[in-house]
Order: sequence, then C-alpha cells, then structure tokens
Amino acid sequence: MSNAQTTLAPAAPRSPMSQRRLRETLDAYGMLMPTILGVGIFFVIPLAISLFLSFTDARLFGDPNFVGFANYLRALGNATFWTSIRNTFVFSLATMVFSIVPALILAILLNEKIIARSFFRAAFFIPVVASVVGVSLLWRYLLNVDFGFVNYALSLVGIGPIPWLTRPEWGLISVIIVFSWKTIGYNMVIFLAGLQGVPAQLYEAASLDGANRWRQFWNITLPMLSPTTFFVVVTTLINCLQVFDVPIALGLTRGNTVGPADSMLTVVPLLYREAFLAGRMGYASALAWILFVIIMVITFVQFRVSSRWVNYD
Amino acid sequence: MAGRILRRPYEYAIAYAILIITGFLMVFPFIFMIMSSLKTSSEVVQVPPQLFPSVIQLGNYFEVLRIVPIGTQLWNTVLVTLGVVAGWIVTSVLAAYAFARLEFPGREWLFGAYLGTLMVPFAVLIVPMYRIMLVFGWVDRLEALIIPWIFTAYGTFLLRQFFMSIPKDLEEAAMMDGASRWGILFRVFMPLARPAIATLSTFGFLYAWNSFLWPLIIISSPQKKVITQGLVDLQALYAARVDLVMAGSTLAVLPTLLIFLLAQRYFIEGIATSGLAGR
Repeated sequence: MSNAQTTLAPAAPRSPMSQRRLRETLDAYGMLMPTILGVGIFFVIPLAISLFLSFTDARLFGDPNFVGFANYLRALGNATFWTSIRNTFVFSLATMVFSIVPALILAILLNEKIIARSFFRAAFFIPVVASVVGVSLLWRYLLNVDFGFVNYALSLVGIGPIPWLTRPEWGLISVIIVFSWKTIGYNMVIFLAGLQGVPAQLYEAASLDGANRWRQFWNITLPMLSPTTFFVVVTTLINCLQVFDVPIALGLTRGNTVGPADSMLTVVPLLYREAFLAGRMGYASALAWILFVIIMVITFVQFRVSSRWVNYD
Repeated sequence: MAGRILRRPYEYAIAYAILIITGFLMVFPFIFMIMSSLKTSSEVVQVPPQLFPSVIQLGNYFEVLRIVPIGTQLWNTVLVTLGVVAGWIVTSVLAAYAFARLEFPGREWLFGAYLGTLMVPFAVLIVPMYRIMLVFGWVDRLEALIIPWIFTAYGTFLLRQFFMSIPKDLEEAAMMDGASRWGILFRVFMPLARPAIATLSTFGFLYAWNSFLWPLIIISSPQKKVITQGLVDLQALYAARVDLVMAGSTLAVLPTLLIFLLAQRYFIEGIATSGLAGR
C-alpha cells in the first residue's frame, strides 16, 4: 500500500515549478476538488463540531453552553451506559467467534475440489447483501416464541420453547445469531481469496520433505493466511462495536427500550436514543467520542499484538 | 494435490454435509419469507408451520402498498441509490486518477488522510451532521440522503489500485498526441476501469439501498421515507400481521438478491480485493 514516491511537503521550500508540473498540480486539485469540498463539509467540520458539542449541554435546538467534562463524567456514572458497554463487548466477542470460525471452516472446505463451489459461495453470500432491516424483521418472525419456525424446529428434537425475543437473558443471544448469520458469508469470501493466494510451491516443497497434510495446514496454510485473518478480525470487531441496525430492528419496542429490559442495547442505539429521542445532543456526542476512543485503542492494541502472530513474508 | 486437506471419500462426505446444511441455513429463511408473504394472516401463525401456502395469493402485497406508502418509499430508495452510486463513481474516478497518476504537492499526505477518515465511526458524525442539515434546510429532504454520502475513501482506494495497474505507456502515447489529463482519464482510463467501476457500483448500491440509521434521523414524513424506514413503520403498526410484514420485507430484500445474482462476480471481487488490501 505504501508508495515509495518522494513527497513534496507544501511547506517545504520549492524550486520553481516547470510549466508542466504546475499544469499537473492544477489538474490534480481540479479532480480532487469535489472530494476535498465534500470531505471538508461533511466530515472535517462535523468531526470538529462533534468534539465541541461533547463538552456542551446541547439539546435538539437552542444554543449550547460549555459544561466541561460533565457529559463524560455523567456517562461513566450512568448504569444504562455501562449496560450498553457490557452488551457491546459481549455481542462483539461472541460475534467474532461465531462469524469468523465458521467462515474459515467454510472457506477451507470450498478451497478443496468441491462440486458446485460457486453455487455454495453464492448461497453463503445471500444474507450479506440482503437488507439488514428486512432480515431482522424476518428473524423477528422466525424467532417468535409461540409460532416461530426456530422454536418449531427445536421442538422436534425436544428443546424449548425458547423466549428468544421476549426475555432479557435471550435478547443479546438473538442479536448475536442474526448478526453472525449475516456476516459469515462476507468473512468467508475474504478467507477464500486469502487461501487462493497461498503459493502452491510451498506445499510441493513441504510434501517432498515428507510433511503430512495436517502439518502442511498448521505450518503453511494458517501462517500464510494470518494477514487475511488479521484483516477479518480487525474489520469484524470495528463493525461489531458500531452495531445499530440489528438491535433496533430486532428489539425496538414502543417504550423505546431496545430488546426486553434493554437487553439488546449497545452503544450506538443508546447514542441514537439519547440524541434523537431524548434530545440530549451534547451527552450523545460524548458517547460517540467514548466509542471512538474505545475503537482506536482496541485497533491500536491489535496492531501491536499482531506482530506476534501475523506473518507478512 | 498439494495443500489439499480432503482425501478419503468419507472426508468428502462430511465436507458436503457441512456445506449443504450451512447453505440450507443461509437460504431457507429467504424461501420461508417469500412463502410467508403469500400466506393468509392465520396461516403464518399456524403451529406447526407449513412451508407452502394453501392458496397462493398476492393480497398481502396489495394491502401493504395500500396501508403504508411503500410504493413511494421504494421509489425514493431507487432515487437515493442511483444518486449515491452516480456520485460515488464521479468523485472516486476523479480522485483516484489524481492519486494514482498525477504528481502534485501534498499527494501522499492527502491520500493518507482520506483513508484515515475510514477510522472514524459513523456514530461520531450523526449529531453534528443533523445540525448541519438543519442549517442547509435539508432536514426531511432526499438531498440529505444523497449529497453528503457521495464521497467514498473506500471507492477511491479501490479505483486507485486499479488505475495503478494500467501500463504507463498507454497514457504517454496519448500525451504525445496532445491529449490532456482529463481527456486521458475519460477516454483511456474510464473505459478500461469498467469492471472496477462495476464493483464500486455494487457496493454503492448495497450501502445506499440498505441504509437505515441516517434516514431514520433525517427523514420524518411518510412520503419521503426510504424502504428500510417503511419496514420498521410497518412492523410497529401491524406487528400482529406477520403476513404483511413478510410481504414488506420481501419487497425490500428481493431487489438486492436479484442484483446480486446478476452481478455476483463484482460483489465477490470487490470484497476479495479489499480483503487482500490487508496483506
């Protein structure tokens, strides 16, 4: 990704540009104009406003007053905030396991000599493209405690009925099931691309050395796949920490709880509720920055730890 | 057979069993959804559930279209999606070409900063974006669903990778003939980049068609809502009518499934490319 080309820092003293270089610079900034304007107006400015608002008592309308760290302190002392943090982490860790491990197994199987490989690949991928809200409503039906298909299928083997969406202890599990079901195909496609990038010569050399297929799998496939695995782990976790659609579409009730007794409440749904249903924009902005810092810290730690298990040869 | 794990017939049997069961778990819910949308309101809550409706009837679809403006909302979603995809293509083709091929002061810095924007969670932007939309007068207008979202660092990265793989001789020959940079971009690079643009479009389509959080915040009148909002309203108003909710869900999900089946290759290539970017 990194480019070896030398960079001219705008502030550095420059030799007079040739006609051609000037022309090229003008062309380049002309082409970048829409992006620079757009990112400036719809990213840089909102980012700055967000940080500012997080230190104010901003409501839906009216002028905000500066309140220092009050919003952050309020969050740290608030039970609902900690519920959302706990739910977010439990959800993220479980979804990591249930969306990455099956994806890896399926990708390994599809990398073998399998008939109708592209058919299977397409089948696993269908939940990825389907509207999250659409499939969440579908699962709301499938997971219904009285007439849902899942409890019917479980009753055939003598289990249940399980109150998937109606009891707090099952709420988050339902979100994990739906989100993992929707994410497996995406991760599988990435793993499959990674597996296909492992050079065949490595296996041939190992075979000549007498390594059996399991040794080859542990000593060649998994290490060669580790950059892909790292990518999947990092992106899945970042997406999980920001989950919104599934808990809302699966669990939003008339009383604005997210799941029974807020059992599906993760950080972004809480932020939405505080900002747009309760009108506490300053407080919601502080929640957003807490989430941002959590994501940055976790991603940074993952990059640091990655040197121990990710193989970049 | 170097690197293969499966050898014996029973190993293949287990592999096929896993693949078929998983494939069933992934696809069956959709079949059940479509079937349920054709059932009557008493059939959908029947225990034990039947897969097929006793009589196939499209009444649910007509009723959904009558009780919530889902037809209008589908049309709004189409407009928003077209706008976002067109915007993605224009902004990322231009930016990607500049980043891939032109030399100018600040290039690496700008590109790095643009990719850095991907780090910021969307949640950080929604509150201030709402206030900016208030200032622009775009609250409850479709512009708010299109204009702010036509810039994509991911798409710029994807196209930049593609443009960098195009041989330099091609544009040098065109430069000799006196073509401008803009001429080269539109006449040489754009036609060559068609597959990459197709991949980009599939992602823009998914992103815009399925978007939910932002429309939920910014659009409030039923006639301007998008399909995902219409579905949530349908669920809230007619929670007891599973047959209607399934008809609505089918209307929202079916277009994406059809486009996926037609353009499968571009979806899968796009993900594989971004995944390999991790290397």
